[in-house]
Amino acid sequence: MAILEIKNVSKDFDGVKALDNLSFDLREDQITALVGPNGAGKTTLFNVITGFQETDSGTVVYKSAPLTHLAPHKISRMGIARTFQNIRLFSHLTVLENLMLARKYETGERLSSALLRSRKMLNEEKINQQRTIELLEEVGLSHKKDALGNELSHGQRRLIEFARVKAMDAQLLLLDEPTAGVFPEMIAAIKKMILNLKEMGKTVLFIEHDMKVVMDIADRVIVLNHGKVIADGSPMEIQNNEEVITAYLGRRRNNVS
Amino acid sequence: MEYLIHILVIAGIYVILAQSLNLILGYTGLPALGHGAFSCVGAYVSALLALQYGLTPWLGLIFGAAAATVLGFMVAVPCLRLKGDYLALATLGFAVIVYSIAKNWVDVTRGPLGLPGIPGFSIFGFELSSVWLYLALVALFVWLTTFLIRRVVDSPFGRILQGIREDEIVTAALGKDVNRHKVIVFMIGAFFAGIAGSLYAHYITFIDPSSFTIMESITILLMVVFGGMGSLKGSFVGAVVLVVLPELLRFLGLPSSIAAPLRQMIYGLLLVVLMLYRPQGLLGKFKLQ
Repeated sequence: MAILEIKNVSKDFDGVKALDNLSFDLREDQITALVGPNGAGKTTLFNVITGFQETDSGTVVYKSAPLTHLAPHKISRMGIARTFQNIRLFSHLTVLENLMLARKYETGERLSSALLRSRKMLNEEKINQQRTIELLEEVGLSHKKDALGNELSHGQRRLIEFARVKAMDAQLLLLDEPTAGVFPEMIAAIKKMILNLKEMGKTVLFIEHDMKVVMDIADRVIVLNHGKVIADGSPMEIQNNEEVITAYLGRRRNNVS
Repeated sequence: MEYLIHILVIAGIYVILAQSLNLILGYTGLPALGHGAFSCVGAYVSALLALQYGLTPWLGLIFGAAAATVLGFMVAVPCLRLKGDYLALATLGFAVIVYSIAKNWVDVTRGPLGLPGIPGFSIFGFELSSVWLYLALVALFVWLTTFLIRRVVDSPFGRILQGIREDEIVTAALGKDVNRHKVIVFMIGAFFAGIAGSLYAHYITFIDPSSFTIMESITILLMVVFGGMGSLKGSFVGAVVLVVLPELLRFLGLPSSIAAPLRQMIYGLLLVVLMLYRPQGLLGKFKLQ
């Protein structure tokens, strides 16, 4: 079943077509890689799905509900989580607070709960704190829980970001270059975590430049170029696709005499 | 001695103003420069209700704070689209508007003549006449303000505010309603500023527009920055120091024609020194961005 449907989505930036009548469905419980050269429209697509950018035309449908004109926080609450290319942890908040902010609250985030310091708020806070520490243990950084966001190394930030997106308990996770700029050992760890998400029944769409990562973990690869899908299939199929090779490496000069 | 107590009462009122601005500026990261406008509304509403309708200042205080809160809402909603410098300018402009209304709506506010003879607070028919009682009253409100704002910031709600300060986009991506929180924060800040304005009006018993100029808003801003953004203790210290310090000048025996501009110069100098050596303020953790 399709969890996410992109239907004829177009997005123009001053005449440059970032997304050009783009359509595809995302099947549930799959890891889908979104690849393509720089400027292919990958991050724009993330922004459109999560409501940070309006489409010029077309719709995005999540679990049969159209997302058009919904505010980002509403889309997020429907179960779509995303990460950012440049990580974006909260610099002056502790690691624990970074993750707590990602948790869903029923009542604890209301002003009245804060003023009355209601029992419900305290309970919710306790549960969320426990869950958050579990997540930190999973990525092996529970000893960093009181460190500030800007006191971590790049690799640690990646892991915290991963834990943060997991803390949202979302159904669909959009990961923007989850392995960019980290050590090879860390890449292996992150790959494992993404596979683990699938085991938990989550759907993952991730942008990736490292083809080895894509080949290792993706069930399906979608290749974008100039805002259009130029190839869509299993990693094996994509690897040998002539058009993909052209988009990445340029056209072969076949008829040179 | 009475003079010293008087200074402390004034300092207390500024503590309320600085702490409530800190909620907006330091915790939520919204550069709002028109805080004096909220206290102006609180002061005028409370004073006029007492003078025109004989309303007890206790109720006037509540109405004054409520009026300021409504105004906070009215400022916040159109300002939601603005960020950084633009928000600062818009709120500054708003402060100018409120000041102009106080000055020019002569039929109601008596304009530059001001409102004399505002009744003071009374308990069981006895008017609070000694500055000591006012000090107790203001101290009570300072405690209440600190207590309530502390509760707001030390909660999941307050964590969202700090998230907004750090990164609005991520906060929204995490499913938090950024705009709603911004509006609420403006309303809370305005509420306490309204209380401070009302306390001021009934304590001094005279208000005129000159008490609520842009300089007033800037002074409150300075207290927050001086004490440290995102620190309620800092705002307390900042307000007390910046109220008391200029008063010490009086003991130097300078003529008032020199003392008044000197006060502004000291503020300016303090700010420059602070920005150079401790940009995050005395007790703050963040720099002014």
